[in-house]
Amino acid sequence: MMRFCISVKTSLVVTIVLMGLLGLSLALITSNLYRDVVLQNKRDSLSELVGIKTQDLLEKLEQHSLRLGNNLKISDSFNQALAEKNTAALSYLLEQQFHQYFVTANVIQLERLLIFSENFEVIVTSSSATSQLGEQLSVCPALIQQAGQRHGAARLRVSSALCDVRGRPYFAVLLPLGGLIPTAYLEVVTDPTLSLVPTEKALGMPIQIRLPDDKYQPLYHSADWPTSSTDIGLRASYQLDTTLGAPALLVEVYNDIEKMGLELKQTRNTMLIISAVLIVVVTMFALFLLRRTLIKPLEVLGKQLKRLREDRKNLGEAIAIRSNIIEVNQLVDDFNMMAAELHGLYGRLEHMAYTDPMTQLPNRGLFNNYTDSLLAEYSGSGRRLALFLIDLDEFKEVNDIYGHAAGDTLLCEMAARMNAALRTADISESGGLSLATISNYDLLVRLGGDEFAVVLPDITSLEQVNEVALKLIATTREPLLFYENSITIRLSIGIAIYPDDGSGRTSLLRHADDAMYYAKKNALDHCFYQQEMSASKHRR
Amino acid sequence: MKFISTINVSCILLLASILINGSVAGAEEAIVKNIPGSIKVNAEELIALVEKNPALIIIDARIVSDRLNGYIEGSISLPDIDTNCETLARIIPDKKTPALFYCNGPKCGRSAKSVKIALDCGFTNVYWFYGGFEEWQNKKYPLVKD
Repeated sequence: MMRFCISVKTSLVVTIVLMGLLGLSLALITSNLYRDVVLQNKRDSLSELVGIKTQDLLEKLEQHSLRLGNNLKISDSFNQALAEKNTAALSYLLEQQFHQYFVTANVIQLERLLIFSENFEVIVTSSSATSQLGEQLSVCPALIQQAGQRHGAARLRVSSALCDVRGRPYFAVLLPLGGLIPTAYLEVVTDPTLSLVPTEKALGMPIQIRLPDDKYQPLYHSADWPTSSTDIGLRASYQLDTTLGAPALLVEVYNDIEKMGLELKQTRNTMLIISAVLIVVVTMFALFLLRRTLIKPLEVLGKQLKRLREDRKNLGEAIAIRSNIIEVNQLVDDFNMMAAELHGLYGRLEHMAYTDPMTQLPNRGLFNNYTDSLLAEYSGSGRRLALFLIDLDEFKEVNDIYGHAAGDTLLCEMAARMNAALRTADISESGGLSLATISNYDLLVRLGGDEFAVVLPDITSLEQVNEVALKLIATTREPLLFYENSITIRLSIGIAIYPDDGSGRTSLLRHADDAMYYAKKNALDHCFYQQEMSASKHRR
Repeated sequence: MKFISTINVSCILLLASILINGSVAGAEEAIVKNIPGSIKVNAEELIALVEKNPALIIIDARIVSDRLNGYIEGSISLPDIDTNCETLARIIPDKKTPALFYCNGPKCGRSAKSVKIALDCGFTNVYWFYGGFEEWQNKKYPLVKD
């Protein structure tokens, strides 16, 4: 299964963005909830306000009804007609009330006036021309019944009620007539709709008054009452109930909440913008911190590893970067420690691979690599090098007479002397042994047995080469004591010059060997290669 | 020395007179709750009284402008400032005839004053509607406006 991989940076950004989106969603949901709560609170307070106003207006309607009754009570002709139970006169007087100021000025909408006897029997009645009450005599029978059950002082109390007659609401006020010992009662029946209209002016909002179960034919609605059902304004209502508890009338109010909606929207948008900006700032800050503490050190570690892959010489370099994260610092320290250990290990391995265990001189391996690298470097450049092949003439004799241990000592001594005479690199173990460490230095190696080779880089003249050969001969010619016998060692050196005597390592070695053979054969200390030497060697 | 003592005595007398006058004024302003010799009634007792004794004369002791706000049906206006034995005698035919006085309410004071005058004039059946028009209106009993 393929594993899904992302960088630390991406992971952090994704995490922060996801958290930010979560925050934004929460802000959005919260703002919507807040909006709903605000709207519900506003709706509730509007309903309460409509309720208070409606009750005020009904109280006012009651006052107007009482004032109408008062007009009759202070009328002598009415009192006389009432005392005489003159129904014709009473009927006339009641009819006159429909032309009173409150009625004609539309302060109240008077529907019917009734006069009851003290036993609550209808004596006379008068209705408005436009009244929809019809033939039905009794309006609000519950109110009359309630009054009939009262005794003593309670019979004098004015009472009022909201009633329902054939699906329409009516407001009735019952007041006693005939002084403190009532002889009759007057019922003033009005349509409350007209009296409730001032609610729109009091609240400064359009209203609609309708029957609770009739949505489509309101009894009244303001001119600016919204007609579209999709209007987003706030609607609140207050229900008026009859004395018996049945719903009688619904007063609805419409509040244009466009401004509030805009404010809520603006608040929500501001919240969202602030949240988004905060997310961006937090992301940037987190990335900045992450870069400083984690990504930068990891990048440096990665680069260093790449450099190590390219060149192991870089193993010795320690990374200096520090972070504020303990674990990262520990990682850098461990990396440095591991790199240092590897550096040492590689050094020791190279040393072992390139060193002759007996003389501690470099071996054939390093000779081959060094010669090849120089030849590659010098190719076509005009630079030159000299290659010596050296043979110790007396080695076999020492070995035979004094044993292998003496032979070994001889080799070591000669190696040390020749090394001292040359401009070779320090190849001690601590200094490491590699092409890099010996670059541009003379190289002395033991090829095997009593055979040595020397590489002289960047030679300028044959005289210079000759001087080096003489130096080697001189330093090895110093007598050596073996069991109190002085032995003088003689070298046979064959010299080949690049590019004069060959372009490759093999040809150079072969020609140096030819020259060395020639020198040994002719008892010469050293000899520069000449073409005839190859021919004579082959003839041999 | 004699002069100083005279000043001291006159100062003390002045202070004492201020204190005595002040306390008398305070007593006059206090709300009277009971008037010995009269019967204190509430709205319901008033109605019961009317039913029991239709001859009861109800006297509105308020000034005329207050009466414009409404009055108890059947009451006769006789402001306290016009109340004396003579005006009372014109309204109440007999010293034994029951008469009831009311004004705007407990803080009004006019009906209390009229009741005292009526008692002083020798009326023996004096009732005092202590709660007055305020109680009457609050209890939603019928009123009349001219």
